[in-house]
Amino acid sequence: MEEQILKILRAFRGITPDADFTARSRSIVAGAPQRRTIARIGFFDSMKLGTAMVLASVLLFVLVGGFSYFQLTNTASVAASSFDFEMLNAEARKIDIRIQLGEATYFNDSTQQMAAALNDVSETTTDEEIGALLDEIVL
Amino acid sequence: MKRILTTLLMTGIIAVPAAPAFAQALAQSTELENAKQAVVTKVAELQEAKGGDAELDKRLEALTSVVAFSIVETEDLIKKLEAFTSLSVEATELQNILLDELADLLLYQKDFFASLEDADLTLDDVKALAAQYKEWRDNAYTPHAQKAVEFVLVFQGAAIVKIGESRFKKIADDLRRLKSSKLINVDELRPLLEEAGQFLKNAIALQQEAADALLPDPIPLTLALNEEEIIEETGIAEEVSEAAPADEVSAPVEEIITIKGLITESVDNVKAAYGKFLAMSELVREMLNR
Repeated sequence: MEEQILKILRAFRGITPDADFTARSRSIVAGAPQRRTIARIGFFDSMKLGTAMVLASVLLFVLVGGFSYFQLTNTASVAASSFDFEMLNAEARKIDIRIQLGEATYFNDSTQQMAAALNDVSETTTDEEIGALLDEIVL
Repeated sequence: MKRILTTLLMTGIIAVPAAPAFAQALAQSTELENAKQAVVTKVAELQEAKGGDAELDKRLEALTSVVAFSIVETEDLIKKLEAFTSLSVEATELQNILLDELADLLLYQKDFFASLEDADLTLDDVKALAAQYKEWRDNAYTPHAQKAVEFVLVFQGAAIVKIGESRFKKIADDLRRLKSSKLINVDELRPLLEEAGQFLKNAIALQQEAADALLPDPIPLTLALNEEEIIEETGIAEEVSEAAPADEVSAPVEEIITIKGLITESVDNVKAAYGKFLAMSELVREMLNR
């Protein structure tokens, strides 16, 4: 097998293009438009590299900055939700109102008022009430 | 903080009944206030009419206004009592007893009111009826109504303490979330939160005492907040030192002998806790502006 391959390769050594083919190929190559490839390729290459680096830097900045912004935003929103002064103040005031409108003081006051009113209507006064009135006069 | 939270939980759960809606309570209070004003007006008119022809009418009108007020007051109490739901068994039992008593009192007053429409009443009749009604109010109405008032107070107070607890928990949760924030120094806020927790602990203790005084058998108070849940969610319990005792607001309990006094003191402690929350709010605002 190897000998056959070597035999074929030895035979190819002697193959040469004919003159017409050579001339035709030469004219095609000489007539093709010349490209200044070496300088432009180098410039674009450097542009691509530079752009890539800039974009990577921007992306990195955005990521870091965005994270910081996210942290800031998150902190601010948490602070706003729990520590909102007006909201806390309103809640505290509501508690105050609730207990002021509550029962105990109102009931005690109204009990005394109704007792006094009924005294007026019935024109009667209990010994205790007379005692209290006398105390007021004496003191 | 851990000790405070533990104590808060060990003192028990506040039964958080569905308290009457704030707007409804406000409307009822307006009706009550109007009825009271009517009494004041009629009594003033009576003073002017004494000795004259109109005295009988004015005296009757004054008596009628007092009974009318009393009816509104009783109905108001019944509505407020009925609004409490999700109570413990003992509390529900007492609630039902009070409602039955108030229903009887209401019936008596309505019958009494109807009797005032009798056209043949004389001046002496009106005076006698007024005296009779006063005696009934003093001996029958007021003691039972007072109990109902105290019941409402205790559970309104419980609802208020619950509001404070919920706010405390939310703030504790948010402090945990802000722990890693570079803008908020949680260490500066923590002492204020501890003080707020101490005030709430006082409020709960006073609430418990009021509930014990109200109900024949003491009911255990347990917080709706789960201890492990709080410590896990806040994540700051392990690091917190013991809180300083809050001696600014709560008076020694032995000096408070009425349910009204206990509830008032309890609510004052809740308001003091809110004072600390507001101080935290100011501090956070300063930190964010630094």
